[in-house]
Amino acid sequence: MKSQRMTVYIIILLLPFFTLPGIGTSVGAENPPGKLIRMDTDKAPPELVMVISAIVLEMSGRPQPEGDWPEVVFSGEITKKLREPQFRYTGFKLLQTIVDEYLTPDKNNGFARLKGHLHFLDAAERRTIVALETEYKLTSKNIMINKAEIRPIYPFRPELNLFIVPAEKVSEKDFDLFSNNALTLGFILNNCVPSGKPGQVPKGIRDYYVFAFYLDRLSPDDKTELRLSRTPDGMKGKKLTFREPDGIAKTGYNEMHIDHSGWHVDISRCRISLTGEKLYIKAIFKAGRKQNNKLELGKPVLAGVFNTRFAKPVSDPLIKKTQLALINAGYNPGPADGFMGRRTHQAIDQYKKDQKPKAIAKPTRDQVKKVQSGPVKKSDNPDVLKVLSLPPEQKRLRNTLKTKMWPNELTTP
Amino acid sequence: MFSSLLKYRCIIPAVMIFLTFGCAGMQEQLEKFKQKMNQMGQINLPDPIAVSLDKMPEDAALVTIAIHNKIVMADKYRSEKVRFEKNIDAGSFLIGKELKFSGTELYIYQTEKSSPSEKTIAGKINFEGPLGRRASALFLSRFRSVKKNEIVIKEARVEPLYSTKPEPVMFIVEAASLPKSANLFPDSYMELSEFAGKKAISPSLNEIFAEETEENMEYAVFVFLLDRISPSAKLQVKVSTNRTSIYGYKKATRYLDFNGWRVGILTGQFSLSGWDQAEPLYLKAVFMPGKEVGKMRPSRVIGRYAIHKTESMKSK
Repeated sequence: MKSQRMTVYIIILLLPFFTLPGIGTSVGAENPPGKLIRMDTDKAPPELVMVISAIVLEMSGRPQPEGDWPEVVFSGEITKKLREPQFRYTGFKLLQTIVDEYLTPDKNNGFARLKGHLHFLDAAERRTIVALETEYKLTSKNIMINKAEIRPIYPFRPELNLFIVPAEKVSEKDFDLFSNNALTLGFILNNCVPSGKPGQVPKGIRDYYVFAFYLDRLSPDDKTELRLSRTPDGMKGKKLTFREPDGIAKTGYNEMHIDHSGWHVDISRCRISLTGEKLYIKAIFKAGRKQNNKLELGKPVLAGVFNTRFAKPVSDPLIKKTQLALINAGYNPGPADGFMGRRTHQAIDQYKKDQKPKAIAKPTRDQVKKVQSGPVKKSDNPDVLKVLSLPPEQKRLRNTLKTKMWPNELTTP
Repeated sequence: MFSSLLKYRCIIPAVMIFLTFGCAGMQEQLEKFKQKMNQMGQINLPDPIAVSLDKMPEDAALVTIAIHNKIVMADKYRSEKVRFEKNIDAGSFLIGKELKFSGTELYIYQTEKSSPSEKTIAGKINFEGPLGRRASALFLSRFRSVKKNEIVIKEARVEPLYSTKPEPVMFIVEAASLPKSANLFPDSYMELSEFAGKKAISPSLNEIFAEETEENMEYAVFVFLLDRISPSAKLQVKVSTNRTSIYGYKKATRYLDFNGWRVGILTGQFSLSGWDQAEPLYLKAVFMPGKEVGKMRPSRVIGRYAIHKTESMKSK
């Protein structure tokens, strides 16, 4: 009796291990349905590439492609979840797609699931990462997306570029431009002091505007700050104040933070010499409340240190750390001196290539053909956005009538 | 002789200057006058700021689609993002079922200064039918964006935009192949154009000159305007031997109006080969724009068809 009881207990104890999904599954060459598999660029199903393309188009607010493409349909109101209220990814290019999880079509309902990240980049090198979760099904008529949700991923340590513009080049009217990110960058590039060119740097103590141009998209509650310090280490420094073009510092208006849909531009004013004493401008970043990084809540980090002596670049501790890490990993970034040189760039690029996650590029013609030869066919649903296209019999009639029309001497050459 | 001109030696240079520069000025004036004359009787729209839906701001595109749906009375493409605060009477536009969306242009896109969520747009929606029939609608709309990306159209006005440069097409049909009774004629523009087009004689010269001994025969000439014109506009179909004038014989012409799309039918006896005709015969479509263009509504020839060629024309 005792041994029978023991057997029952053992079965009860082991039962969850057999029923829990995912346990004991292995990666198979045939990718059996409903199983979690590792994604590989070559093995990525072409319809998945099309689903991601359709989602990216929807995020950008652009129309879905026409012509020989199979139709990708969004069920219900899920497109609402793909469009941010104030922002479109219109000027952004999909740099890469990282697939974290991919579940092949389920036997019962036919839905495939995907969790991944989309990396975007625009012409001004602004970047953003979006977490994507989607569920889609391949039908005989089209590809139906049943679920699609996006969530921006904010960086722990954003990257930024710093520009210094002589105060006399900034007029009151120019501030109107700063409401637009591209116009701000255009203005800065036209007027900033060129770095690394000692001959073109103004001499003596002068008034300058400092522009911190963040490349990563920040969370709405992230905070940034500019400080001026005599030492490159630590976060200590005098907070830079912003003054109006007339030079008068206004109470309670010490900094100017411009938020271009998440891309910050901080503007401050300071009176310094770009050729005299070596000072450091520090960009401080305070992370706000983030869903994905609760540990670093509110901790200020140094996003960048910039030498005011533009003719001589400053050694960056972060670059030094990176160089050491690269040397340890077997790469050749040159000496660990904290300067971003050619060899460091090459080593970082090589490291990125080697570590490159499985990425999906745009669908190729072959992939499109592969899907079309499969169960997916282009839907013939009429669409109001499509410009008039005639059915074949009406086209024939139109052509016949054209041969019967007498030539109008006023319009025929 | 030349000595008598000496007393005018002071005046001659002045006359020369006048002839050289004064005439140049007159030429400029004449050009300006010609330009004005050309502009008369036409509606000039501003340059569009967007020429298709995908080039418009998203909210403007959604409102344009919503107005389009009201015009064609279609609920099929109704967007849940857009709703009308009050119903608009766009159904009276009467465009016909066979006309489909062929394009759009946006002319005005303004944000209210006092309330940035309120916008005003103005644009044009173009429609085209299977056989090339066209219509355009001008719209003006005031809308506001509310929560969750929704748009509420507060006001929308739609008016037909009548063409001031209608395009005519002409078919010649043998009278013998037409129905004897008027009741047997098709009663819609689409059916009539299809009917006339199918029965029409091809204008190919080889076909016509194959019968060089052809005598005068009874024909019906159909002139269809592809564009919709104003009720106050006028189409006249005339026959004349004069190539350029707007005048001609018009008593044998009957006119039909299908909701603004006009058809002129002229019947008469003539020879298509023009074998023994001394002068070429022209059939002309003369158009006078409607009252919407102003008081000056000059008639002009919009279509000229040489219904037979004489020997002199052939040699050219």
